[in-house]
Amino acid sequence: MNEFQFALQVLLAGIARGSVIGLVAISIVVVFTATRLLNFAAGEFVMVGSIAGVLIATPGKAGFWWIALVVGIIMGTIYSVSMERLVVAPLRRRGVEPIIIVIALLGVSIFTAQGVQQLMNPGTRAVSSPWLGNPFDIGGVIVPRHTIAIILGVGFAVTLFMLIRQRTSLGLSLRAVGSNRDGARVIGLNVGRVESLAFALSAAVASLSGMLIAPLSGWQPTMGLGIAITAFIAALVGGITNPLAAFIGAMIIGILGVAIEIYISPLYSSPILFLVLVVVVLFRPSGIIPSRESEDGPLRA
Amino acid sequence: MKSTSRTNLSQQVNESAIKAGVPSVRSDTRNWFVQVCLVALVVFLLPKMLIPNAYMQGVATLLFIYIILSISFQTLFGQAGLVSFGHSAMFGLGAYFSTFFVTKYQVSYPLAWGAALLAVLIIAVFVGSVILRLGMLFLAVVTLSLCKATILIISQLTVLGGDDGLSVPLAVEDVSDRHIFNYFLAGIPMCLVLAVALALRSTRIGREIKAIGDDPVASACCGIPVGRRRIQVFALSSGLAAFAGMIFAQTNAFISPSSFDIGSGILILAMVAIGGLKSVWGAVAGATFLIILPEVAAPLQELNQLVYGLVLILVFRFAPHGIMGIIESIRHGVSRIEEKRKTSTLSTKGSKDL
Repeated sequence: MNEFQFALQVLLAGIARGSVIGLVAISIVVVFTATRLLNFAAGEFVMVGSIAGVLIATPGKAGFWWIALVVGIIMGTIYSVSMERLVVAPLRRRGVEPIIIVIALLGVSIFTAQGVQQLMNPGTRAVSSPWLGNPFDIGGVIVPRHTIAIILGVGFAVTLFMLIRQRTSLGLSLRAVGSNRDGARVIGLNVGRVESLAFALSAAVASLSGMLIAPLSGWQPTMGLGIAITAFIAALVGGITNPLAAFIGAMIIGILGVAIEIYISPLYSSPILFLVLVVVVLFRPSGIIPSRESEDGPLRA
Repeated sequence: MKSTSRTNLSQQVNESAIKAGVPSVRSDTRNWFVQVCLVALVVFLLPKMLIPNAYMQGVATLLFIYIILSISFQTLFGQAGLVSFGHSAMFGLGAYFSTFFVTKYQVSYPLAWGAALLAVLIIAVFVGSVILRLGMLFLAVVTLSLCKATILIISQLTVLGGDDGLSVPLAVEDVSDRHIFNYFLAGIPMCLVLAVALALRSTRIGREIKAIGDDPVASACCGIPVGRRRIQVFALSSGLAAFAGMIFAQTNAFISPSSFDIGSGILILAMVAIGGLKSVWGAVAGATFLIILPEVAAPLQELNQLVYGLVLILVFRFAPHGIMGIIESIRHGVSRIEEKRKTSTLSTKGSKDL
């Protein structure tokens, strides 16, 4: 394998990672669009959404992955909506500062991760998928089947998501509630229900991401926080108000991260990504990707 | 005359503060010296009277370290209103720097501690001047990833022991009772830090910091150098956290990246939240509560992290001003009952000064 083929492979790995992170970034953007909150429990949406994978799509039962996906999405949705009803909505009603709600969400994240860990014992579990077979060899570049599945699955999900967001009344009401909560209420939108739906949609996307990651890197109860941080960096770098921008940001972060890990050293990927975040946030807080909907009001000091 | 006009004014201010949901703004900050002396007395007497056994002394040592940590975090978040999840990273940097200077460069301990403190202060000023101008939500994400990045770097550097950790050479080898020694090694600095934090409230800088936390825009309009103070608070807070880290390295004799991960950041946050964000004593109360709790309720010991997450949720949901807030509401309720009683007995005299 020559240099070029190797580079292509690294690129492919980066695209795969970027896609999966991109889904989580989109899930963060959905919640932010509707509630102007940073959902620090996003990682737990991924984790809870893929518990079904651990329980159902166990090694040897590859075909059950699809069942696990559906069950996972349902579980993730139930989890996210209950969390929204129990924690977020009451705090909203009190009128506390957004940062307090964000901290409470962090508390939920820790609570969930630790709770699941107690219930299911720590340690990585394996999840099987229909695509863990022999990789394809395309012109000297080794392409794992799962990577293709990720790219196709994520592509489908993002398209579906954007259709929902731009073309349906649900998408419109999500954006309306986020942009002007009281105004939305005035024109008759059920703000509470829309916010719950935002969390539900967010969890569905995150669950898919979880089901795609888990066969590759295993499932742990504590997998959430690391994924969430990377997804946040991606969303902030790309542009947190626009799901496509966030997705592209995730691609950049994914490719960059894999490239640094392989070509330089795994030691450097976290600090460099952190530096990228700081630079972008300081000089282009609305994200690298130019976007019409650039209101970073709540994020500025 | 029943009371001076000065007491009346502060009563009125307290009443409107309670109505606004803020713990009272009582002006007993002048008593801080007495309060610290009382605490120091308790610290000195405790080993002889209440906790003669080594295990409890170890718990108390840990408690003192965490009190320093939560006071430092309260100064940053409760007073100045700056959220930073990177606090545990500063804690870790203090521990690692001091140990590193001793093991690698063979410096004496006081010098190592001084150098480590300086290193952390420089880092804090540098990082702070870059990120503190961001809004709260940005700051939260940035500091969270900062913490993660720092811990990852430390755990990858084999010279610092990597994931397995590093044993810390003890500063003072020859000691008759190691547990008592550690106890006072943590206890005395704790009293000092408490004194500093309490005294800070009555100084101009302390009040400016509090003003910035309450309303940065109004503070800037009053001529307070908001940006500069924020960096100073961040530096002070990080320095205190690093100080706690150095003490921890000594009393624990062993440090590893896992003690400084996001989990301990959450613990510190939970301590300050449950104690009461806006008060120094709240930090003390919160730390005491969360350290003593696993000792009292034994089954909770394994569920530590779970409890901390739950605490964060429940406190903000049901008691946003924490333990100190509850105490204040009780106090206020009691004094209002007393007022009502006095008014009813004095109503026949028709007194005007109430």
